[in-house]
Amino acid sequence: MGDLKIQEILSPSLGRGVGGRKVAHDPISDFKKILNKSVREANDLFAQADQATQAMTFGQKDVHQAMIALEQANLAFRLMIQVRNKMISAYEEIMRMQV
Amino acid sequence: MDRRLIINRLFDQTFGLLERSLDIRTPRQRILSSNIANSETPGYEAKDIPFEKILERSMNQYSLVPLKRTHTNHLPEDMVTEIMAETVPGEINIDQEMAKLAENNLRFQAEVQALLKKFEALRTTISETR
Amino acid sequence: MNLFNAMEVSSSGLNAQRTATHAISMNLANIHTTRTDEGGPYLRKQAILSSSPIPSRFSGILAERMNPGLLGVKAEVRTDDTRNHEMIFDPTHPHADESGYVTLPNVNLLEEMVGLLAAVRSYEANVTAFNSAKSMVLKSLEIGK
Repeated sequence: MGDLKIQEILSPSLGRGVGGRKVAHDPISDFKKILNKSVREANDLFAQADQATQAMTFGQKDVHQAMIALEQANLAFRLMIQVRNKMISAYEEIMRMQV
Repeated sequence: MDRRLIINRLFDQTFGLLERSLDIRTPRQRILSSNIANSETPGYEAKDIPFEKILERSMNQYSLVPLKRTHTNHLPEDMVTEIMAETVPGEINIDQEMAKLAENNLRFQAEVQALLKKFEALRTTISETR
Repeated sequence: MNLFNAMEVSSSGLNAQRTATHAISMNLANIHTTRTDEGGPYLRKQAILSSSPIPSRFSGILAERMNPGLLGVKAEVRTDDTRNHEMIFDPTHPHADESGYVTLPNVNLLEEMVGLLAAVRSYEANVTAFNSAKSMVLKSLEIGK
């Protein structure tokens, strides 16, 4: 079930139709693109979380704002790790096929 | 260039709504506390934030700028609805202020709880993939 | 920030009510005091409340922008109650004046008791408000867990 959710999230970025029709894409560079994007986003969100935390320490932002930013960064990071894992296992599967 | 982040698709509009609610409730708590502390101060005028009005206004602006957002559900700074307090005329009724305070508190806690559950669901979704 | 400010506002209320209570207990203790160090009978103390801004501990300009009218309360004790002192005729009293009248403090027992009740109720309301803001902060900390 969780597997499906990640695919749903990622598939528009892969340039596939909803029916999963294959387009002539190099799957490895697609994955790379997505992974890079995930890494950048996780970085961005971490930077935002940092900024929110500092603002909270200086009394400019409320606790809940910092907490939400931190949790979003956390989730982005986890997503990135999962994307990486998926990429690796997809890559391994592709490599197995070419024998 | 597709500026919509992958992560945006995880954090739906409800996240924005909940976060915005919390952003309105915290200054409201401060203002109500001020009313209570000054309930016997001569010449002091009670204030309050019209919660529903401000929230609605915020969400309308939110839905107007879906493609301009570059960071999850954070509204661009210039589009943020100013949270303005209004003066409540008449003598301060301390019981009414206490009731408003209690309601604000409880709704805040409920909204935090909802947010918690949503985050938890996302965490599970992301982590439980095989 | 908003919630911590709320707590500071409430705590200013606690302080003010404590000051008021202190003035009232002095009045009650001295309700029969006909001679003080300054000469003359005890003068009633009054706590005058006025709203006062909570000073921002950080110099953030942003903090100021988001805190228009963050008002706590402060109490100032004054002895300038202008009501008349009651005078009773008792020439045998050590503090009687030439005509035999003793000037009593301008303190009214019932009035002070009512004032005390109001101060206590207000104090309790501020305690509730303080705890309310505190519970909101604690709850929002759960987001990170």
